[in-house]
Amino acid sequence: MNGFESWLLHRSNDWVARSPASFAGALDFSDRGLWLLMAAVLAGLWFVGEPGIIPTENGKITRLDNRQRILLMLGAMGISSGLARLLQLTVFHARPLVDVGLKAPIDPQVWQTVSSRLELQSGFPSYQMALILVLVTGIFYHHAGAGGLALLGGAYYGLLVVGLGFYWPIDILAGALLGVLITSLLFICQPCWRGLLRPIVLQFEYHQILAHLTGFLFLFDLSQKFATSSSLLRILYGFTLGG
Amino acid sequence: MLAWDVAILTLTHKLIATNAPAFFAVLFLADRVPLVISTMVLVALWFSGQPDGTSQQPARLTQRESRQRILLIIFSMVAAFFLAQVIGDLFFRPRPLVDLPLQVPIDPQIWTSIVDQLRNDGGFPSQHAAFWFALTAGLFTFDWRAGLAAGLISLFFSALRMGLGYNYPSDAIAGACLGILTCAGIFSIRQKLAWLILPTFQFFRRNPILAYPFGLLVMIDITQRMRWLFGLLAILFGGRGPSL
Repeated sequence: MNGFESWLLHRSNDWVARSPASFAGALDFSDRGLWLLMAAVLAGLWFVGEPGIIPTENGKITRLDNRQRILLMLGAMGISSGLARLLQLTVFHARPLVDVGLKAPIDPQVWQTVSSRLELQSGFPSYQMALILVLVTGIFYHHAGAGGLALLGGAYYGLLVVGLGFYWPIDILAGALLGVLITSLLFICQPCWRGLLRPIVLQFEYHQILAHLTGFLFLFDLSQKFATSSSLLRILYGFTLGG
Repeated sequence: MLAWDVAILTLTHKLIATNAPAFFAVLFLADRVPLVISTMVLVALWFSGQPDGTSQQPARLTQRESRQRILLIIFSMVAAFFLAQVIGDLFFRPRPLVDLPLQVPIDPQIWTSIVDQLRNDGGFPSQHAAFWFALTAGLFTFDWRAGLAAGLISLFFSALRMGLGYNYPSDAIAGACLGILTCAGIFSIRQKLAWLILPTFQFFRRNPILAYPFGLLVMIDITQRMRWLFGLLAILFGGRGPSL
């Protein structure tokens, strides 16, 4: 831990823990709010672009091409969060809330429940930050201004989770770099994936009801941190074992 | 307590309380699954309808007409749920799981926590039945077969909730009537609601990048019993949010 990291950690903690309400709000947003926001952003991005197969002017993108990019972004989200989780298992970097005395103005029992879940988990790199920067990179490719705003949003989230003691600044930076790298690589290789992506996107033209239903269910499950599909799997598992 | 109410409830309860996994499955199914199914139906209908300006099948609804009907249905569903809550607050009737000694095949502590959560919440009329049958009534305006299927599914989930002890059969019947009447009422005054429906429809048409995230959040709120909407109303006007 260097001086700057320590300084940033404590300043962020001061900001997040300025009141019990702000701390509780930060906790809630870091848990559920992020996933909800990601689902909403993806829903909006899906409709970026012009109808048709050829853009009307240079610099514009068709909805067809845009949707292929979004599928790549979803792939990048899967790959970067998977890689982040793998790195977390390989490189143990204890979270600040374990080592450092930080302010946490909430019910100690609630905080104990939260921190005990994270004590044995490495924080390097932050997989949530990787997911956010996949989205930011995707937005940036469409519109630099919107990408800049999205980056500010990502920085806000980063400060939030550093202030809660969930991550060191270096964990946030590493997660962000991972997200940007994976997304950029996939975008560069987009022509290679056209044969796979185009038929999927075209289903949203040919079979609108089924395709949009599937998309809605995916976004809904994403907003719940995939809790619904996990519950379904657990129930099926319970039934197949006859327990 | 009506004798037939208790008799039907006891029968449905016996059917689902055979073993712990079945009971947990019913707890899961009766919780959010029907709400998720409702939103799936709405999403599917939103993307049905032939694009405006085409005349391939004159008998088919255009997307414009279809989407305006869906907005009316959503409005009916929310209104029915809200009215059921208001009526429930005025005419308190304890839920069966509070009044009756139901035998449940799960950890008593878990069951007690569920009962305690609902102890001060009335079951009459069933908010969920009002919600689902408002959707059912709305679907009849699309296709009688869709309405019939929705009615049967709503009956099934209402029966599950009876079996869990959340509602008496009479609660469910009252909720169903409320839902159907609310939807019929809203559709009968649809011209007067044009100030709400048309701008919303145009919002989706002209600003899809903003409109669809909003639509997604509305659908997600529906799956959690409109907690955000009722929370917002509670902040603005006082009152409480929806129960289980």
